[in-house]
Amino acid sequence: MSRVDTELKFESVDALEAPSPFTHSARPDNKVVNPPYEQAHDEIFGALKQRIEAVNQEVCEPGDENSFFVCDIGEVERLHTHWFKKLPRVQPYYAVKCNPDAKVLRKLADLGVNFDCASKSEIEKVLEMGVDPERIIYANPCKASSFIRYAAGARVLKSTFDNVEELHKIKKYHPDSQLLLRIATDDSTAQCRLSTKYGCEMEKVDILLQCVKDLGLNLVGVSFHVGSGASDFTSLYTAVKDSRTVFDRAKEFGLPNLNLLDVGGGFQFESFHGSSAVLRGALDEFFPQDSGIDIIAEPGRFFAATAFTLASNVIAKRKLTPNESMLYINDGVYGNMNCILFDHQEPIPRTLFHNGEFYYYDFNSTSPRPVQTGFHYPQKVSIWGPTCDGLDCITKEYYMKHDLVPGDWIFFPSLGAYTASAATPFNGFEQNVDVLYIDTSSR
Amino acid sequence: MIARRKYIHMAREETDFRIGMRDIGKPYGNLVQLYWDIILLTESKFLLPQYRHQQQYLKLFQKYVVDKMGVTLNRMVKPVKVPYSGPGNVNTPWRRLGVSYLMVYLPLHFKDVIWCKCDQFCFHVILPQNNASLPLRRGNSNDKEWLLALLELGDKLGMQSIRLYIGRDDFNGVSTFLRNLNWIGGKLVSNENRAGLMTQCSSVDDLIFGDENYVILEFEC
Repeated sequence: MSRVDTELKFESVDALEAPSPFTHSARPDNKVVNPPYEQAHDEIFGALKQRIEAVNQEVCEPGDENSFFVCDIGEVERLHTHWFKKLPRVQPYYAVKCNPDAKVLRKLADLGVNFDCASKSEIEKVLEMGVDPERIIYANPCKASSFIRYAAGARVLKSTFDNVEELHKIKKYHPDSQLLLRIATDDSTAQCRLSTKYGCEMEKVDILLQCVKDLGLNLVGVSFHVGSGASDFTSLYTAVKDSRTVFDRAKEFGLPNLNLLDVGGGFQFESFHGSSAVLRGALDEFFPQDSGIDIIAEPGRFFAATAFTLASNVIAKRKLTPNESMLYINDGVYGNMNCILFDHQEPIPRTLFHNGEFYYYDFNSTSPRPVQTGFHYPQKVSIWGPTCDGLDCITKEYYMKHDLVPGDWIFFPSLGAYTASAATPFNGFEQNVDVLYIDTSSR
Repeated sequence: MIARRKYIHMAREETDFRIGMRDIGKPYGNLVQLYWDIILLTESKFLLPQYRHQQQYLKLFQKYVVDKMGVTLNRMVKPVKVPYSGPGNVNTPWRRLGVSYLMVYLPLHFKDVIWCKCDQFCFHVILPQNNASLPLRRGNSNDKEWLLALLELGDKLGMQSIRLYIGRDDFNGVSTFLRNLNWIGGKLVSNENRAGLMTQCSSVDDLIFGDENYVILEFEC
């Protein structure tokens, strides 16, 4: 089916005022108004279409119709370029936990991006790629002694801490650590809050500085994390300001000059224009270019989310009324969508293949609301994973143009963050998901 | 003493292996009985609710665990080749009897005792399901402390990983914790394939156990 044929599908819904089809957004309420560039939709659709057409429903082997990702390595490169355009002073340490896909890690390593690891296995994976341990920060906020011993053995020196007990463990097992004091931030507007659990409150900073001094540890800087999906970027400004205070306090304690500021993660493509502008301003004010302070960050979803598109097959349907049904697909929270449980994501399902036709370019094929810009969506659905587990719900309520049936395909755009990284086999459904790689770097 | 022991024994059978106190007499006098209590109480956490209030199943459960432990101990004394039991979930890690059993008490975080067992590689921790522990946990803003304590214990025990079994009834109480799971290196582990288990030639004994009441999380130790 050609692109022209696909576009004809818009004619039946001309009442719709379509948003830009070239959106990067995974959230309907958080769209990029003027995206700096377009995703490689033609190539992504081409890969999706080729795979689905190859699946002959009648004779395919078990597993051929499994869900699969399309990963655009070129998107990772474009994001990297975009990062340095907006934050030229900030060296990214990619949060491996977000998506440890080997090809993405390789690409990032080749581009000069460093790595933020949260576990022993993540450190192992990055070191196996030949990355120097100097390029790794061990930023798990909940480190047991064994983790610290492992980091010491692997010569991973950079590490964060936020309490006295951790400092004693570090003194015992990894005294050469280059430590960053993690401070708490105001993350009240973030969708995924972290400071409520991790980070030292400003009034307790002196206790930690004194302890660092008493134990003779090597404090090199300060880190913070404003949480993911923050809507108010003033928290970034405040956190940079607080960091400056800690730098100054360390000097008053007679500690060697700190030289590293870690501005954490939580950066999203949709809001990067705003967040990077606030961060740039704050850095220029509190840590100007000539201050000699190195700035690093721990972005994860920024580099991973928009590079991946997930396609999933409708495997069953339960019709509740003529216009309402439960759709079961062959992926879910125990597979590639555990971001629903463990992150703040609400994956957007879109019709990909129905009744012998592809609908990739119809970005209005679904809606979270029954009526959108005057168009009434006829089909109300809830979408479920394959496991018969009550938790395995992808969306309790969504509205579709098409009355999907088993054998049809839906896709989830921009679903690369906190998805495949923790996929687990469940109820005999394989979760070694196929990834089709495309590289559109040369576009 | 005999009468008293009989009374406690009856109470245990009729009240769903409820946690209680047993007069074990002099030190070392009846430690074996205490150990059996710990084993049975820990294993009973995986007894499906529909079987917990029927005496016939409780007896079946007790016999099953004792027999299985007997076989395990015999194998330790006289190693024999274990026959292949076929594919499936009958060998799901929690189904295996522990190499050691522990009662962990973290009163600052949980009101009740935490029942735990270790196999050769994994430290299985069944978090208390008692609702009384919920306000305590919700009031405590830092789940990190009890998790760290358990991770340290798992490390001390020489375990490679720790599995937390969190009651689905308590799910709301730990939802914030789950949302930070990625940040602290944890992952969700799937429940066993109950449907698959039913289609296998599993014995009734196997079917009275299940993990469907738990959300299972795994961490590296």
